[in-house]
Amino acid sequence: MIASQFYLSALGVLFLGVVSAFTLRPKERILNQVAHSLAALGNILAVLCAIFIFVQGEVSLPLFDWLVMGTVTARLDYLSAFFMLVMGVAGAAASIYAPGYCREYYGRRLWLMAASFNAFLLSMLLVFTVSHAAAFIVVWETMSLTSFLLVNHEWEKEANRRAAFVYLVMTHVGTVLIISAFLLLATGAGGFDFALLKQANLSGFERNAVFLCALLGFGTKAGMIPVHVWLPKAHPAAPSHVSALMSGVMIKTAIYGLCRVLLDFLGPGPLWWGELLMALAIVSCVLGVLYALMEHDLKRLLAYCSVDNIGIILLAMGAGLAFSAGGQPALAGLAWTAALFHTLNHALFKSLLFFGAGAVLQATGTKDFEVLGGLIKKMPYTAFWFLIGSAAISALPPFNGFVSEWLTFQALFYLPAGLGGIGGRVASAILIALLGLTGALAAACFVKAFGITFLAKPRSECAARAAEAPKAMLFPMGTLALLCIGLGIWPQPVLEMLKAVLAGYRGVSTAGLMTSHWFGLTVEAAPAAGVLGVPVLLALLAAGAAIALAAVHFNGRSPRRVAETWTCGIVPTPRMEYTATGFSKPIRTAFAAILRPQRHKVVEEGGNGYFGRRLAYHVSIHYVLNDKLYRPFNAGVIKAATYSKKLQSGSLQVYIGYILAVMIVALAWSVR
Amino acid sequence: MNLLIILLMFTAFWLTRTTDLRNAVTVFLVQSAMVAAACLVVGAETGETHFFLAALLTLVIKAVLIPYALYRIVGRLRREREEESLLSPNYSSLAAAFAVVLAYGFIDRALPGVISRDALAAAMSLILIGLQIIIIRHQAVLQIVGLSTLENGLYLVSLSVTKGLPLIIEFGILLDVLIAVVVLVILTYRLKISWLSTDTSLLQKLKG
Repeated sequence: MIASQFYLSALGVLFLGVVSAFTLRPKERILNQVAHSLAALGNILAVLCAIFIFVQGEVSLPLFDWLVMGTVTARLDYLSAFFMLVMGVAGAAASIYAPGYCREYYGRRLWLMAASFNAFLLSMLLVFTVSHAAAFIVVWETMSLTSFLLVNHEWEKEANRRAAFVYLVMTHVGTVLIISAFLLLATGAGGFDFALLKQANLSGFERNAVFLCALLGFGTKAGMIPVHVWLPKAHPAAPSHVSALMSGVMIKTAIYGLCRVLLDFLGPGPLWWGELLMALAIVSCVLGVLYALMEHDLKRLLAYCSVDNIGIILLAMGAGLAFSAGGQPALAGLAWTAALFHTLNHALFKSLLFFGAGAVLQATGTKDFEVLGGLIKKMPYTAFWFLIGSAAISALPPFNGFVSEWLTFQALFYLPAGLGGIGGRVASAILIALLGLTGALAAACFVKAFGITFLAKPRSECAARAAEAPKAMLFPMGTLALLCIGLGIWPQPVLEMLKAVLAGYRGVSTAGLMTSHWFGLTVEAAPAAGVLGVPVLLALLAAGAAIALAAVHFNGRSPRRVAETWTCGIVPTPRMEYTATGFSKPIRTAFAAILRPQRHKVVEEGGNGYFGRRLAYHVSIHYVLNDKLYRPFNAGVIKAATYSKKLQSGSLQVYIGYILAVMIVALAWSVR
Repeated sequence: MNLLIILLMFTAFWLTRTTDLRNAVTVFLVQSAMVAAACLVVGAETGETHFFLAALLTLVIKAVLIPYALYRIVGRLRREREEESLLSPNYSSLAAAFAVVLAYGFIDRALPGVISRDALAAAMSLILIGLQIIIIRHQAVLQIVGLSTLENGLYLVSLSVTKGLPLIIEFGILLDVLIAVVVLVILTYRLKISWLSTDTSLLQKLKG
């Protein structure tokens, strides 16, 4: 099969990328081009492989025999292929973007970064394809470690080291839980191969344990609240093209893992699985976007926004679980379609936004947009692509974010059919309201991010001196932006793909979805029927725009004069502009109960009481989960450690005494 | 054989009472010679010739090389003697007696009616008493003697449970012991240089 040829050559090319980064170490310019070109090639091969799988059918190829563990197989089924597609598109864009961005890393261990970058891509490709529990854990760990190296790349800064440390700790806590889940499955199945795990013979209690371990373990990698703490620290610390990959693809490996466990291995479960997942997801949505809105570090804002979007994906997955449990396979199919579609969409627009943030960071040297502004005149293309990404992530039509969020809303509207009773109706109403709130806040968040960064006058020297990013960096951004528009207008190909992906799983049926109207998104499950014609919508938008243009044209051009904005006779300065902190003030006040903002105001009195005063204003917010969950936990661990420290007396005699005691206890146990 | 076992127990008890470094090494030498003799006796009883080689090796390594190394280091450590042990000699003998009772109790519970009951019990007592010596004494050399006593006990177990280990394994075990003791002697000497004493309770100061 040609797909397996593509797959193997993608692996080979990415491995070559790692090798090239090591061998070309002294020649950084050549290394930069070669290693990243190989990475791009590998990703394009992965995309081709995925496309061929969807055209020609699923492929399975044995990779190697592992002593004791059995044969390790790469099973390229539709689910793997879909995620391979997500990774390939975002990865290829990041690899094309990388050489331009990496110029600033000349002389700063570029070889290590390029090698880790290729190894990171390689391990993610393997995570999506290996069909063997033990091998999965190995490549999962490789992925975690290579991404740790990338987060820790600029270890000269204290904050980055701290971020990398938190990431390492959290990801290993998650890995422990994932290993537990797989071991439980493997003991029930009598083997490590995924095909065996599918038929695992587990009791109800074990199934629940697998579900909880997988949820928390993969949830840690996904950045689900309350185990998200590493994400807003690690994503800003990594170089921007890596942030794009981490946010766009790496956290999706967790979604892939959850899909595998929930759809493939466990199948339909009790109702509370779905309820728990939806509850955690909606908290992730609302808190994620609220914290995003409070940020004025561009990359950290995007990172919090990832928490929000993962929440949306998990919400749809939770609805899917609830529908499967409630015996509504068609609606479950709808919910899972929404989840997977949003996974792809988020990969596209989040990568785009991180590329934009990276371009801004490179041009100005800062991520803090309180000191930016006016960049739309210096960096028009970057600004335009960033605007498209912002609109897509805010779920505005006709962009792709809208389609998947609309599908999620549809699934939630039919939630009473799955949950049943008054609880279902109340839950449905609450979830819809909160998801709507999330969308609105996300829009506000990106109005703020775009407006403060790109509009008005530059607030500092570094913003005034900015220049447009090179074409090699603009090209991938433009491509992703076009994909965002394309999938918004014409989502059918992806939806067809997702129908194939979800078709074979227990408790899920996609037969009735998207069938009747070729031009629209249609839902025709038994209790549900909805149509959304995006082209119609687009035509309406176009018509409206045409009428507006015509009106402007027929009214004749008004006389045009170029001058400063009128500000009551004084020359406008950047200090008169809205600040990011000021912009988010109303929301901070409205959600004061959750955010608990604190302001620190320092007034340096000038000679006069009315003018010439200097004011320093600083706002901080409380992170509820840090205060209520992580601090007490840390304190508990330290307390326990202090108690157990007394065992370590430092006296040799006491240590030997322990050995003697253990020996006597062991002997007593053996002759019991 | 029984006589040898009684004598071995006697040396073990003696070790709990002596606080003089040179005496302790001498007692250990005698003990090792007895283990070698026990090896010879077992060889004579079973008629396996490789026991004689093993006995010779034990004699060379445990009764000659290790005591020689220990005598050398004791010769350099003048004015070093055991002070303020954890237990007085009387109490440590009592603890050793308790260990013997414990060993017999274990053997009778675990392997009721085994032929080499006394040898196994003695071996286990040696192990327990060796550990006790390490715990009770503070002097590094005495602790090395304790460790070697423990090792003698282990050797006796292997002698009384099996029809003799393969020669290559015996060889390996003996070499391990030799190297461990040589390293310990070197470390003891370093301890003397760095702390001007070989009292291991000083090592508590290393704790951070």
